[in-house]
Amino acid sequence: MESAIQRNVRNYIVATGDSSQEALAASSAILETVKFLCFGIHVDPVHSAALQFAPVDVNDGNVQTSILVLVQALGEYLTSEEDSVRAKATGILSFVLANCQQNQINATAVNVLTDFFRERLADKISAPKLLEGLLALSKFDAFSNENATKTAKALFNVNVQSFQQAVRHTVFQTIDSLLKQHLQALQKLGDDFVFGFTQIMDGEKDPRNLLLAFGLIKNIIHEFDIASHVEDLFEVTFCYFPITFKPPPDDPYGITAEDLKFSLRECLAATPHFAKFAMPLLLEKLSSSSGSAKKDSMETIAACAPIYGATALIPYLADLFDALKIEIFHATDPALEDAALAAMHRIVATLSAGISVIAAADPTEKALKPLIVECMVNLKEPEAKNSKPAGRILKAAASASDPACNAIVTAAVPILLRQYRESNLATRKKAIIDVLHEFLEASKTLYGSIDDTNDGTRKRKRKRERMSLSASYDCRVAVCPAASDAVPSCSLTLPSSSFSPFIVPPADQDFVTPLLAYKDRFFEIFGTALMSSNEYSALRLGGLKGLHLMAMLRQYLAINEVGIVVQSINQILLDDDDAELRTEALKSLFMIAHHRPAPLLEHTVPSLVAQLPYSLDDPAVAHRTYEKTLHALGELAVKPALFAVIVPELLKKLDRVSNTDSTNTDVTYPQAMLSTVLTVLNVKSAQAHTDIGSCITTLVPRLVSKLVESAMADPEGSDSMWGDVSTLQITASIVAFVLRSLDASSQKTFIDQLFDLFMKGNTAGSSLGGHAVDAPLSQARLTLLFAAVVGSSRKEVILPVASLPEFLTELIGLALEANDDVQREAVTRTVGSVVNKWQDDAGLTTFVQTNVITKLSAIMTSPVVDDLAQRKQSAALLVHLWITKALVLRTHALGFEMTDSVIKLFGDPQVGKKASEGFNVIIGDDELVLNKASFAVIKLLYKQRFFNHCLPGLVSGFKSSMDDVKHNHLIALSYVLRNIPKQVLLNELPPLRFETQYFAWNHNLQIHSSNDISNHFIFHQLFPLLIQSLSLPYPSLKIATLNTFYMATTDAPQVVAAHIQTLIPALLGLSKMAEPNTMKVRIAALRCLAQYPSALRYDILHPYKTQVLLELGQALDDNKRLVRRHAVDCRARWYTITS
Amino acid sequence: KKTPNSNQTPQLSHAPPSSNPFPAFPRPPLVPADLIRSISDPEHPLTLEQLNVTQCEHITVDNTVGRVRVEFTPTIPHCSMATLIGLCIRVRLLRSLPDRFKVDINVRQGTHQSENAVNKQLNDKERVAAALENAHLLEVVNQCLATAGQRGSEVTAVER
Repeated sequence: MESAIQRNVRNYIVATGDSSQEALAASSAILETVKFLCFGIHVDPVHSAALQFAPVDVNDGNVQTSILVLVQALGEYLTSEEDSVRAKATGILSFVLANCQQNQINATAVNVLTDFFRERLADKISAPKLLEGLLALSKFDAFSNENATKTAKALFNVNVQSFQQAVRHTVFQTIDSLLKQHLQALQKLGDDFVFGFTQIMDGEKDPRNLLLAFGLIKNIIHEFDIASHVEDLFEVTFCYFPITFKPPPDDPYGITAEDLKFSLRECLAATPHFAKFAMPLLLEKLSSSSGSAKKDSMETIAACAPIYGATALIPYLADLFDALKIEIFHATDPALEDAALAAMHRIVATLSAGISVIAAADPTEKALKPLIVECMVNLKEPEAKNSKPAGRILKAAASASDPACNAIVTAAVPILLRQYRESNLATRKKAIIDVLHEFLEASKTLYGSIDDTNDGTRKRKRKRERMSLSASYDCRVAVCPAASDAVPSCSLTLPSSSFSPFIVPPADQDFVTPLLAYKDRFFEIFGTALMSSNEYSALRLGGLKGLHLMAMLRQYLAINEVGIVVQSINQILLDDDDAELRTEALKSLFMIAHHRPAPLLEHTVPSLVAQLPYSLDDPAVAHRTYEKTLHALGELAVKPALFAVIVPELLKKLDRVSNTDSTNTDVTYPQAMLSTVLTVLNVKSAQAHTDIGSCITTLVPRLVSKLVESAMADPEGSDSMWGDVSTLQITASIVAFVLRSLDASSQKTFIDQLFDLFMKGNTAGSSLGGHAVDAPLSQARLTLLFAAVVGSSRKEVILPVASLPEFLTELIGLALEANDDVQREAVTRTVGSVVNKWQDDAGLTTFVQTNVITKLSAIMTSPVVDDLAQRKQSAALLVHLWITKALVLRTHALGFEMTDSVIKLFGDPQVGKKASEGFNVIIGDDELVLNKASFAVIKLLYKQRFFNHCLPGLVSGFKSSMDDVKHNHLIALSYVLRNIPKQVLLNELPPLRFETQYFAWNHNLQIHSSNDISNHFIFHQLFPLLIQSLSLPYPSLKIATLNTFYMATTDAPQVVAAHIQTLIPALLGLSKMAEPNTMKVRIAALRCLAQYPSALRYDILHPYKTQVLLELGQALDDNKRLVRRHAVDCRARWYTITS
Repeated sequence: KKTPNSNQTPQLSHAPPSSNPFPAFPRPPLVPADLIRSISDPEHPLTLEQLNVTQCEHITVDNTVGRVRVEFTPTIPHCSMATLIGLCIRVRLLRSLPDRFKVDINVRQGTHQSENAVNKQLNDKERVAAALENAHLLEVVNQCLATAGQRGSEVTAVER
C-alpha cells in the first residue's frame, strides 16, 4: 500500500506542471488510493465482499493512516528547497484533503495539518495551494474553534490583494466558511477580525469576489461589534458606490450590475452606524449627472432610510427633499421619478417611525412643512404642469405614515376645496380633482382598501416589514424607540440576527383616515363633477374616479353610502351615451360588485332591467337603445353574485316580451337578450367560473321547454320569436356552453333525457318528430339543439343507443333525405361529432369503409337529372365533408383518403366548386361542435399533417386540370392557407424534417442546405398558384393570400425575391381603387408592398422603384382614409430605397 | 315577415360607385398636420410638433382647389436650419399628398431674420429639385423623415 502511494507521489512530482496529463493521472491515482482506503472498496472482486461487509472496522483508522502515509511520502517534497516542487507537493495534499472523506480525520491530524498550512502562508509561491488546503480543512468536522481563530489571524497577515483573482476568491470562501461554522470563536477576535477583513478586501476589483465580499460584510456587520471600525468598513464598502459595472458581452459568470448594486445596497443598509458617513455622500451622488448613479442613490437612500432612522436623517432632510423634488418636478425619465417618489415615501415613513409615539407628530410635521408649502404653491395653479408632480409628491409622503397623512391632509385639502369652490373653469376643476385622487390613493395605501378584511391586515403587513427591519438593530443602537415601544419585550429577547415576525398590537385599527372629515364635501364635488352637463368629459371621468376611490377605501363609506355611489354611477349607465364614461362606469361598478354586491343588486340591476322595454312596440326597440343597457348587464353578469340574479331577470323580461302581443315582428331585441346571456357564458367559461354548470337546472330547462312548446304548438315555425332560426342557434349555443361545463355523469343524465325527448318522443304524451324526414318544419329544426348537446358531450359519455353504426346510418339517411337546410346541417354536425368521438377504432374503420364511402360517393358522382338529385348530391357532399373533418381531426388514415376523393371532385363542373369550398368545413374551425371546448378528439399537429397531405394533390391538380375548374384548387388552397398556422408553411412537420435530415446524413449532404430546400420548396411550388389566386373574385381569400405574402416577406425573402417580377404588378393592381378591390384588400396589398424596402435587397427592388412610386400616387388619393394612410407609409418607405 | 332595413347589418366592404371610381370633389378631408407633426428636427432629438415648429392652426387645406398652405415657426429668429426644416416639410408633403395639391411652405411672418430668402428658396421648384439631387442633403432629409410615420403617437406615449 505504502509503495503505491509513494510511487504515485513520485510520478506526480516528476510530471511537468500540475495540469499536464501525467500529473493529472498521478493525482487521481493518489486520490483513488486514499479513497480506496477511505471506503474500503477493493478493486479485487474476491475481497470486495469481505471489505464491504466490515467497513466500520477498517474505515476509521484508514483515511487517517492513508493521509499520514501520503504526508510521509510527500515529506521531503513538502519542505523542498525548490519552490515549484514545494508548491506542487502542497497542491496534491490540498487536493486530496478537499476530496477525501472529511469526517474521518481526527482532531489531532486536523490540528497538525492546519498548523502546517497556516504557518507556511508566508511562502508566496505555495500560498495559493496552502489557501486551498485551508479552505478544505475549514470544512472538516474536526476543525476546532481554536483552529478557526488561528487561521483567521494567519489570513489577515497575508497580503491578499497581491494574488490573482482565483486565489483571492479562495480567501473569501475560506472566511465565508469560517464565519458559517465558527462564528462564536471569531466573534471573540472582535475588532481584530473586523479590521483584518477590511485589509483583505481593500482594493478588490473583481465582480465575482466583490459579490462574495459584500455578502461577508453584511454578515460581519450583523455579527460583530463594529463600533471602533465603522469608518474602515464604510470606506472599503462605499468606495464601490455607485456601481458602474458592465458585464462583458460573453460573460460566463452571469453577474449583472444589478446583482452588485443590490448586494452593495444591502451592506450600506446593514447598520445605522453608516448613517453619518453615508448620508452626505449619498446626497452628493444625487446631483450626479449620470442617470443610473442617481437612480442607484435614490434606491439606496430608500433602502437605508428605515435602518438609519429619523435622528440620522433629520440633519439632511432639507437637502434630501430638495434633491428629490428636482427629480420629480423636472423628471426626464419616469423610472427616476418613481425612484425619487419611493425614496421620499421611505424617508417620511422613517421620520414617523423613529420617534417615540407621544411626540411622533412633531418632527414629521416640521420636516414636511416646507415640502407641503412648496407643493401648495405649485397647486395654486392646478392646471399648470407642476401640479401633477406636486400631487404625486404629496401622495408619496401622505401614504408613508399616519402623522404625515394627517399633516398633509389638514394642510392641503381645505385649500384645494376652497380653490374648487371658487373656480368655474372645468379644466381647473378637473386638475383639482386629480390631486384629490392622489390623496384618496394615498389613504388607500396607508389605511387599507375595501378588499382587506376588516381587521386591517394590509396595514399590519406593511408595518411588520418596517419594524422587523429596524428592530433587529436596536440591541445596539436605540434609534427606533417607536418599534421597541410597540413591542417592549422584543429588544430584550431578540436574537441579534433574526428577522423574526412580530406580533403587532391591533392598535392600527384605531387609525382612521383624516379624509373622513371631508367625506361629505367629496361626495358633493365628485357627484356634481360626474353629473355636470359639461361636455368636458375628463371632468366627469374625474368625478367618477373620485367616487370609485371613495368606495374602495377601507372603513370609509357605510354600506348605504356605497349605495349612493352606486346610484350615481348608475345614472351614467342609464342616461349617458359617452362611450368612455360608460366603460369606466362599468369597470367601477364591476369592482365594487366584487367587494360589495348588495348595493348593485339593490339599485343597479333593477334599474337597468326596468329600462329594458317589455313590449316590441316600445319605441326604444326601434331605436335600439336597449343595446347599451344589455351590454352593461352583460358585463356585470360575469360576477357570480350578479350572474345568479341578472340571468333570471333577463329571462323574465324575455317571457314578458314574447307574451306581450305586438304587431312588430322584428325579433332582434329578444335575440339580443339571449345573445347577452350567451356572451356572459362565453366570458365566464373563458375565465373558468364554476357557476355555469348550475344553469343546467335553471336556465337550460327553461329555454328548452320554451323551444319545444313553441315547436309543438306551432308546427310551421310561424312564431316570429321562437320559430326563428337565429333564436334557435343562440339557444343551442347557450345549451352547449352549459353542457361543456358539466362532468360526465351530469352530462349523461341530461343527454339521456334529451334522447328520450327526441328519439322516443316523450314530451308529456305527445311526440316530438325532430328526427323524422316528414316532421313539421319547426320540430325538424330543433335537431340543432340535439346537435349542440350531442356535440358537446365528453368522450367517455356513452350515448343511449343500441348500436352506434345503426344510429349513424339512421342519421346519415336523415341528412340525405332532409328537406330543410337547418335540419340537414344539424344532423351532419351530429354525425361528425359522433364519428370523431367513436372510441372503437376498428369499428369506426369498418363502418366508414363499408357504409359511408361507397354509398356517398355513389350519390356524389352520379349524374344529376333533376333538382331532387342535385339536392341529394349536395347533401351527400356535406355528410362526406363532415365525416372527413371528424376523421382528419383525429388524424385517421381514412380522413386523408376521403380528402383525396374531395379533391377528385374539383374537376367536376357541377359539384367541383362546392367541394372546393368544403375545404373550409374540413380545416376551418366550427364554433358549435368538433372543437377543443366541446371535447372533440383533436390530435396535435393535425393541421400540419393535413397540409402536407393535400398540398401535392392540390398543386398537381391545379396543373393538370381544365381551365374552367382550375380555380377550384386555388379556392381550396386558400382555405387551407387561411387556417393553418404560419409555422407550418415555414417548417415541415418535425418527423418529416427528421427524415430529410436522416436522408441528408445518409447521402453526405449538408443538413443546412437540405433544410433550406425543404422550406422553400413549398413556397416555390406555391407562389405561382398564390399569385394566380389573387385574381379570384373572393375578397376574404385574397386577404388570406396577401397575409401569406406578408409573412413570407420576412420569413422567406429569397422566395419573394425570386417572384418579385410577378408580385409587384399584382400588388400594385390590388392597391388601386377599382371594382373588385375592397378596402381591406387594398390595405393588405399596400402592407405587403411597404415591407419590401426593409426586407429585400436594393438591387432587387431598384428596377421597380419608379413604377411603384408612380402607381402609389394613385393610392394617395384613395377614398378611404385608412388606405391613404397605408399608401403614405408605403410610399415613404419606397422613397428611402437607396444603394 | 320582417320589416325591411331594421336588422340589416351595415355593409363593411367598400363599394365605390362603379361608373366613376374617382368621384367629384370635395374629398374626405386630408390631414397634412398629421403627416408632418412627427418629422424630426435636424438638430434636436425632438419632433417639429414637440418644438412647436409646426402647429395645427398654421396649416390650411383647401380640398376643392387642391391647395395646402403650411407656415412654420423656426425656434429662434436666426435659426440656420429653417431652410432644411422647410425642405423636409416640402419633401414629406410631396411624397404623401396626391399630385393635384399645390403646396406653399412659408416661414411664419416675423419669426425669422431672412424670412423672404427662405420662403423664396422653399417655393422654387427647381431649387428644391436641385437640392434633392444632392445625395448628402437627401440623406439628411430622409433621416428627419424617418420618424414622420409616427404621426404624433410618440407624444401620447410620453403623457402618462
